[in-house]
Amino acid sequence: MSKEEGDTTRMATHTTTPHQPAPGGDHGHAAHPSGYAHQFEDLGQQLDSSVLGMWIFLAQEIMFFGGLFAGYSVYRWRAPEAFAAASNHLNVPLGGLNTVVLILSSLTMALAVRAAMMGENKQILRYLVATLILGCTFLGVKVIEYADKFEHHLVPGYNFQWPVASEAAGAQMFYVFYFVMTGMHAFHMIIGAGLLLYFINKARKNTYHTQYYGPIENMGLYWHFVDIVWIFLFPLLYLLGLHLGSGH
Amino acid sequence: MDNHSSHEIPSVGAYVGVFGALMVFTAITVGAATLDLGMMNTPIALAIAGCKAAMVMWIFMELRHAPRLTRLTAITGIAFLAIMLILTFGDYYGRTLPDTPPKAWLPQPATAPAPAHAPSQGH
Amino acid sequence: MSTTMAGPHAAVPPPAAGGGKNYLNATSGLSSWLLTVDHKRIAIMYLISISVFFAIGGFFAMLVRLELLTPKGDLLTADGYNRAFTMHGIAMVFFFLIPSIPATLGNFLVPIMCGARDLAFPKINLLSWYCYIIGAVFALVAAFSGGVDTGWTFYTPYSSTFSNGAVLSAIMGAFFAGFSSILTGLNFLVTIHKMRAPGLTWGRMPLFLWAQYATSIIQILGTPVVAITLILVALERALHFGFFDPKMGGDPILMQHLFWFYSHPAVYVMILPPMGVMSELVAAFCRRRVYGYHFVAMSSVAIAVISFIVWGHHLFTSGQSVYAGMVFSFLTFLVGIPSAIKVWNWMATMYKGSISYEAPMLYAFGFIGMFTIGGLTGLFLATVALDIHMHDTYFVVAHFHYIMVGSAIFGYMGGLHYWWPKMTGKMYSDGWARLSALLIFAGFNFTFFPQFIVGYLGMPRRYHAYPEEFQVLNVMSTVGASVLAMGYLLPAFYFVHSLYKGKDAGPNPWGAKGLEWQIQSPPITENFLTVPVVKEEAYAYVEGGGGHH
Repeated sequence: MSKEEGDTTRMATHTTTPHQPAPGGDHGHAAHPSGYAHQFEDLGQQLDSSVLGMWIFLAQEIMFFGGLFAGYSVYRWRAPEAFAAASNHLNVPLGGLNTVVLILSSLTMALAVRAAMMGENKQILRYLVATLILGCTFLGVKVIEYADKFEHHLVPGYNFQWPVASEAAGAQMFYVFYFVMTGMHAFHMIIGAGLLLYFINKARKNTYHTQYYGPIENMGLYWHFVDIVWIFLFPLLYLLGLHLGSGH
Repeated sequence: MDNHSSHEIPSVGAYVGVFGALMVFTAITVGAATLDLGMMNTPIALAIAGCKAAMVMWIFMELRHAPRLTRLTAITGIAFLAIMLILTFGDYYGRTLPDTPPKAWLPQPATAPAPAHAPSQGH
Repeated sequence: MSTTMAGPHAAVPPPAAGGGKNYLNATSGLSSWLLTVDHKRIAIMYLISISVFFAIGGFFAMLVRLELLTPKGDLLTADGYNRAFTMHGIAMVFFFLIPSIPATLGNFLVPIMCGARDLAFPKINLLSWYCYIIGAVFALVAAFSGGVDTGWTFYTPYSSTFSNGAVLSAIMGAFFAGFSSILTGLNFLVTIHKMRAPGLTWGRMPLFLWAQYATSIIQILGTPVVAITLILVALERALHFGFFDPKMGGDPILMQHLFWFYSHPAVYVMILPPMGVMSELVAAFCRRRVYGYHFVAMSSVAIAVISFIVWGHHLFTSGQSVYAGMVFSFLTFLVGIPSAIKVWNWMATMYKGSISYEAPMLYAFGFIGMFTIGGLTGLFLATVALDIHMHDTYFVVAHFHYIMVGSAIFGYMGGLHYWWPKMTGKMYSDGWARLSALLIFAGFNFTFFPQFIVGYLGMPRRYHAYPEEFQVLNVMSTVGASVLAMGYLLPAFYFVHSLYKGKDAGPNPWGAKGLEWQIQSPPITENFLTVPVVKEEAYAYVEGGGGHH
């Protein structure tokens, strides 16, 4: 972490500030700008702090998913053929479609943050709703894929069957990771969808302005992170055995 | 100032451009996966995914305008993940080298000496 | 140097806070506590919660020690003994030691030492306490529904397949406690980066803040790994997703890798904050600037980073590659360097200092000795060849108790005695406190030093019966544990007594330096009426002229 001296936001501006917030911007009500939280000196410090907090949270998320990626790498390294063969039973067109949907939702999310920086609550609302619809589309496709695995006896610990005995253990391990990694990813999507609903409601009430848009920016950071996880999951889960020809 | 977020409004063009590039890269990664490149398939797939992730972080997540500390936070997360992966793989790779103790949970050949290192509880 | 403060007892009077208002009496009623976002009140709630778990963990420790009084298993069955030491470990590690200093003293002091009105995210701070409580409820459910017998490490395949204890509930408890720890770390990192008062540069920060900063890095980067690992174990147990099941191509040792990737750094979550407390105590009671301030500060960060590359020393005998074992052994030795830097610098601080012997300083003396023994025996165990002889014996048990009790709890108790007047505004009885410190020191050493010997002689840990030749040393250990228990009970009485009958402490009873001693005791809800401006280094004591008491 950064060790450079004197990067406190408060040092430059206030020396003996009375215990009341400094003006938050050019929008009129100087004493208590909307969105201001009392522990901060001003909205600038508040924005910097909340965005830093989100990035630290995302560093935590990297390690959380990192445990899964470590397990996946070790087991795939030990059983590469079985993993590739098992991967061939995943639906690449649906996975690809979901990749496109999720990247598109990242675009709309980025545009929502941009709208928030301009204080355009109507635009925020529009882009957040678009993001929510795309996120739900992703989850809907995921449900179709999961249902297919239940039908084809590919659920480990429940009804797993594999025709080639020598691959059975590795293939089942692949599906263990398929379900847990995509499941954990989908869980993050569901949380994200819930947060989107909350912020949609806030935007409807014109909460955000040019000095106060940190929550939308953090929502965006979270959503993009979930997108990045999928960007790695797609090739690592769906595309392993493509060069071997289709399994079904 | 280096330590503060830039508050200028980013252009729509950059976002749409990144979206287009991400689409192209997605197509490339699917295309590359259909070719049998031997052991290169996975590194290529990971390199493409890494590029896509870097674009999302740099443009969508606005690391390009972010203070140094924010970038450092992102790098720290990735660096510690790398530590975990490298040291864990060090063990699994080491087990394939000669003169390692036999893997205790595998059936031992009758002539092999009894394993000196039985599984044990942690400290 | 000093512009805001002169010598001891000449502290600047506290800013007039109308009518004796402070954070304790600002509002009243149960909901004013349960819904508070004041970091000081959350610290108090954490203090009460972890004290409950300290008592629970202590109860199970007494069961263990009583069982081991005699060679035969006559108090507990083998199964009951497994459950007793597991519940002792879970309660003490996840619910007492990991939150101990960060969640109580850290929560209370980090914003004040930064000169801030609160942590950066007060609501997340409250959420952290509720995460802890949810985890605590799960742990209690596990305890009351028959307990867990896996050991606190939840090793597979035992935890996933064979154990018949309440493993899932205990795992959920540890999982939620982990998230409370992550949220605390997140709050501290942002607060220390973004909310320091004008003039409080990195080079002027109290070493307690540096220690909390380093701890937070571990909490953020390590805890999520154990969180996902525990989820995987739970899924394997509940849904037969065989992550670590060799039948499915899994590897139980991978679970140990992932578990110790967090749980070794977690040891430093327990020991770094007490090291920060130590620096404060040594400076305050020797009336000197901490010798080698920058080295002590940087050694905290170095310990945090190195802690992530040593975990394989827990796997020397469990089937890990010998090559990995050699690398991890070498890397483990590196931790000795920053640890030794700290110990030498504290001793150099004491040298020619005007030392006084109040209760907090007694704990500091104890810490230095105990930490040295615990740390050096750690180097024994980091040596692969020696560890193959001593792994899973009482030598290991003694080693980590010298770190976790002799150091971590000594630091915690020292800090609690040092800042108690600030937190409550009252002085406790120094005589009783000194007696308690001596009892804890004597009891602790009588409990655990014999375990080094009995372990070296070959007594394995985690058995409820043992050969008769080990009895003398085990009786010593149990007697010591009884003295230790009395030492721990005393503070409960004199601390509570001080709340009703204690003398008013005043803002700065120790004549110490630091922002927390410049405000009234107990502080007002906002901590400071005006944002303080820091114009001097940490521990700017007037040397030679600071005759104390």
